[in-house]
Amino acid sequence: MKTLLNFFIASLLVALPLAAEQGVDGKIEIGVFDSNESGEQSVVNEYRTSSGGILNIDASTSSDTATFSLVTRLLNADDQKHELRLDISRVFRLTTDYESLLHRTGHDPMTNLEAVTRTARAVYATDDDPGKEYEVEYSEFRNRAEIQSPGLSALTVAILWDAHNREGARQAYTISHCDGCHVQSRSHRLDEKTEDIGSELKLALDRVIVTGAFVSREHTQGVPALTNLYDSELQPELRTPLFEDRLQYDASEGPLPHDLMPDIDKDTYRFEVDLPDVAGFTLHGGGIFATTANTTTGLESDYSGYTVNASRRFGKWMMRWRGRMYEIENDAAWVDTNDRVGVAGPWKGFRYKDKVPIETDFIRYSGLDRSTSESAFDVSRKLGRQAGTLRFTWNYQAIDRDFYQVAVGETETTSNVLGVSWTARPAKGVRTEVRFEHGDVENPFMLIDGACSTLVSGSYPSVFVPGQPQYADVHESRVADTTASPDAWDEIYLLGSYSTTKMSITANYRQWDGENSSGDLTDWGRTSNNATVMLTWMPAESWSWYTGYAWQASELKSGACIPLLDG
Amino acid sequence: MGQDGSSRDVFHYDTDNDVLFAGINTNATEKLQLGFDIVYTNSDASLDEVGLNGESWVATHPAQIYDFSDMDTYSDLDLSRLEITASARYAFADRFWLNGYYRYADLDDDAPYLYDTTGSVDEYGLSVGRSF
Repeated sequence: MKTLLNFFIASLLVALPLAAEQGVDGKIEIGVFDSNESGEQSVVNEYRTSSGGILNIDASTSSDTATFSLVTRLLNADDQKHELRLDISRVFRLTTDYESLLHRTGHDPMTNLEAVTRTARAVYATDDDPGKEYEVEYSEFRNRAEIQSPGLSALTVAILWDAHNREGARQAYTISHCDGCHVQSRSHRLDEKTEDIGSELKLALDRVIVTGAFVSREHTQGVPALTNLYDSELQPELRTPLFEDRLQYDASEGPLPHDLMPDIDKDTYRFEVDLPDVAGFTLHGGGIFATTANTTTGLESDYSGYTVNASRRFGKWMMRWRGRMYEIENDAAWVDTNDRVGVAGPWKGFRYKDKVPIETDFIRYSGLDRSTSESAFDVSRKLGRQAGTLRFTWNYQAIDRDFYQVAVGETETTSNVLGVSWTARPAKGVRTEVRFEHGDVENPFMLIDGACSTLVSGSYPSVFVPGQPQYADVHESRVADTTASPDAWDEIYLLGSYSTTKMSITANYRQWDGENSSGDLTDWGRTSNNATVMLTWMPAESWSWYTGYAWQASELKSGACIPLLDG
Repeated sequence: MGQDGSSRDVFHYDTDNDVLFAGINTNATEKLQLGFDIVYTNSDASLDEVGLNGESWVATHPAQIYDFSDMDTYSDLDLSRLEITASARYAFADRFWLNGYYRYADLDDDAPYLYDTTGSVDEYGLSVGRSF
């Protein structure tokens, strides 16, 4: 694809000066750029390339029957953007965009992963590719062709083709357990491709517009998973394999795949109906049905959603309402735990579940399975030319989950957000806006009993002493509900600006303050403040200047626990 | 070996970002345009001191160490960034011009998290253009 583009651009370089004689308007710029880099580049130069050419083209031409335009910005193969537009007699329209960029993702040397005990390292790391520069080259090719037949101009037929690629390498990690936590990383080549092919039919009549579309997506990894031979399981102090029955894998399982990403297929159907005037209302309705298949595991996910929008003016009042309902259903997954047999110590010859009353195989249901209803209603009134507009809003959302409880016996989260805003231009050049919103959430997203085990086990000389509490007992003894979602919040936004023909000054301030104390030992809160002020001035036509300041501050609080362990 | 409940505290994590920016553009002569832009950013993040010391447990199990006195510093962030861009455009003939620019960016990482991300870059470019 890149070779084709480069050939295309080289052809343009030759053709454009000639085309200028034939009525093409625009400009072309050619040059080079280079850089000197020092130190780590993944932050200071995260999305920029080091050197290359400069080619900027902005060209357009038109005739009685056709228009054509091209905008190109090319620095090198990993940093370019092209936009092509073609319209032939309003019968055939082509929109083609190509963009690529480089993302330097950095290389973690893992030097922080070091901890020791008396006889062995408890945590340590090995970097198998220490000199590797991890980068991802993104590219996106988007195309849409429309045909509108002169004899049937109400009908538009569109063909879509989009391709997204991610090439490069990422740092892939593994961790071996028991003989210390041994973290390893190595380079994993990236060659991801996502391709969308679809079509759209749009019928625009006087009183109704109907749209139907289908898109088929195929996402492939392009490279196999890596494999890793994990360390042998050893009790770190005694240096014997006592915990074979408590781990699903170690060196005895041989090389195992890791950094395995699935291939994905997705089919999406969409329909929309627009009714511009039904008793004064502007109406829009639609639906989306999508099936996403993980072709690596065979698991599927279904989405179905419906939307309705309505708006109408009543004199100085304006009413708008948006409603949406959707459902997500995922296949359940059977987790078949690798129950291994102990090879040493008191549990030699036994599986973990032979000694402890626990079922290690289970069905994993999706916490994303849900039915959701949303409503966004606002009503506004124009108070006058200078007095501005007053707007009241009410947003409602109810998420009912199939398999996940957000409070004891409760699977539904309900939120209501009430707001009021005032926007005005009280004097020439002056603009103001004040907005306030209050949100109230019943049963916000939360992990019930997610932290703070109260287990008091007593003291045992060995983990093999019968009858002592196990990992599951520690989990069952947790009493604190954990969350990062508010049960109530307030937001205020202020904006003021003043402008003349030579200067403008704009300032705004936003504060969001939310907290959650609705669960057991839940003590979560966040306050964020943002402010910006900017001044631009043009003292004369020959020069202008600007300056500004932006500030952001946040305070986050959250309860946390550590278990008090002996051993 | 055993467990004796948990030690709990409420963590407070604060972030602060300040960005100052300014620029000037001028037509120095009829044929020469000059531009200069500067952006300075300072970002800090820190965790307040935490109290996960398990006093009652340590009092009866002196062999155990619950020393988290330095833990609040592990997630500190202190980044500052300066970026300066200067550009010039000279129209040397009718419908022809010369463009040049210089960009300098410098990032100081004074509290590395996973690794030191300090780095800088000088970038410069030159191009010639024609309108038609």
